[in-house]
Amino acid sequence: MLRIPCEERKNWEAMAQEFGFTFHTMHGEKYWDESAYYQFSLPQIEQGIEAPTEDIHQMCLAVVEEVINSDGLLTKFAIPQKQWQFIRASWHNGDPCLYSRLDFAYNGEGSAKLYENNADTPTSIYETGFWQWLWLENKVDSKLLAPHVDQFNSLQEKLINRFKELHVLNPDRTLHFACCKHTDEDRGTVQYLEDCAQAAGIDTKFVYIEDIGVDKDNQFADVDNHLITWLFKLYPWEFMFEDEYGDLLGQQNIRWLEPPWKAILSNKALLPMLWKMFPDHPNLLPSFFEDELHLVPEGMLLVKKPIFSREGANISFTDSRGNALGDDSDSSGPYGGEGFIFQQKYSVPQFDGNHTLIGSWLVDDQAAGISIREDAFTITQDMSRYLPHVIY
Amino acid sequence: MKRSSILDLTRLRKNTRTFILAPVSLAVIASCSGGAKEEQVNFVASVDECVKTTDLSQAECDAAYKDAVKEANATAPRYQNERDCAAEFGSCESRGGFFMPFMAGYIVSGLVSDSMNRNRGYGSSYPTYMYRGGGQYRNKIMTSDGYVVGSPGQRSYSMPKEALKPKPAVTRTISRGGFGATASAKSNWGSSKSSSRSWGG
Repeated sequence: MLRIPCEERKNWEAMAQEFGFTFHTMHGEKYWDESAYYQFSLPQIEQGIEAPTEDIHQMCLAVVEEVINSDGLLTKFAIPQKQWQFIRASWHNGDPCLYSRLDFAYNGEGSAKLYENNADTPTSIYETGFWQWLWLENKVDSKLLAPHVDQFNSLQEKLINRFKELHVLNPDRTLHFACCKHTDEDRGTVQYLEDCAQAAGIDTKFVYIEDIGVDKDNQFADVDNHLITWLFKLYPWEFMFEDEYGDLLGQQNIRWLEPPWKAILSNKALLPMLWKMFPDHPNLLPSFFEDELHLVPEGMLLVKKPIFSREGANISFTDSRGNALGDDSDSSGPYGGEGFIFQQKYSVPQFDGNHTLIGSWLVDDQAAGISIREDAFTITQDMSRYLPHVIY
Repeated sequence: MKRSSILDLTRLRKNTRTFILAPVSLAVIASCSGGAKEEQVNFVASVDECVKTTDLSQAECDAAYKDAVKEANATAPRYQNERDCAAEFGSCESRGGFFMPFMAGYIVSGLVSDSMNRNRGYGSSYPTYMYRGGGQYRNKIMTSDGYVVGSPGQRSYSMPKEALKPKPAVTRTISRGGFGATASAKSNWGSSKSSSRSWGG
């Protein structure tokens, strides 16, 4: 695994404009960064990332099976009791899922270590499935990379195929796509998924999360008062549960993407559960609930993560007893009221001074490609940069 | 190969298009009809007329009527008050808090002419209404989402398949904005970058 500096394509910003990639620069900082790329060997991809990704997904499903029927565990996962029936029904019905992204620390050698599972609202899918794919096509076309250079990225193809399967299950429903207002990144992500669904033959419609309405029968409707019967929401389940309409969930005939049972996987409590059920698995880091700190080996440094943290917010480092180290690399944020988990401190590798995190995508249960994020800091946040990769 | 083979660039090319989509309006459907595949449909004002003017049996005409009524209950245009409804459709009925026009006949599509060998002699049926408002559409046959089929009197009509797709069920919303408050509360925290934070991860 190498980091290789390279020339930017001269016309890439014009192409970004042409394809509607509006969030390549955010808050005045570069987000899409093609001044370098990462190079992997095929075994690094296939044995190092692809196989563990599919294994961990199966392990995660085993965790859902364990947690879903246990009142005690659902409580530990900070899932409100009034939602238990809603979540259980979706699991027992076998509601299908679309996608997820596992984040790994991996330097090309040894075992990739799972940081967390973005199973509910993973982003950077447009950059991965399409934009870095286009980057490689352009590089090969202009003979700057050899024709046999490949990329671990069948994401878009697999997404469209998955949407075709979901279309068969919902032949007569319109699929509504929703995200919050005032975020170009989320709007772009949802537009991309909508494009993929349309390519699969699905009728789609967009609605902002904030514009969803409710009728006298507690059914949800869009701005045109059309009933919503199938909804992709780039908005976390734990937020929906807290919102005013959260109390109404479960009364509608709606197929959800992601399905409600994903609330168990996008939850940091997944990590100590995985460690409990699959102890010493090579791709897992030792992880503990707050009441399990006595199990932590002496001297092991820990990362303290809020159960519902997003984009690396509110993360801090502690000693093996959970005492803050006062490290100035702690991140701030609005999370933590719901409780914390602890995970062994394990730094992502550094390449040319950049901290590098690998996101490994799944479409349903199939590994579908990777995305690479670089940050100047130890904790990858939403202002980290996205870099393309190749298999050589 | 570990990557997608060929991606459809045309679909992803947005040019100057913004991300905000206009709703599919009547005008869009109508303007699409030139290129879209057309389908022949029959308009009947009643079950009796259906039996007389089509190859369908009494039972099939009954079934098509019932399908159309069911569809009308879900998709008919809705109004807050009777006056607004009557202004466009003449006679309207009250449905627990809102008004919708009475069905004025129905259309049947996908008629199977081979009566010897069939289970059901039609593809779908759709409710229609008679438009009574002013302007060029007055006294024309209209579907639930406002597609103008034509003037009564023809045995069959040509309609774009697009207009025959299942219609979204329409409801009356009593409140909005019950989702999104949690994200909005969290975004107040880091004001410097609250404008474009992702709620994904």
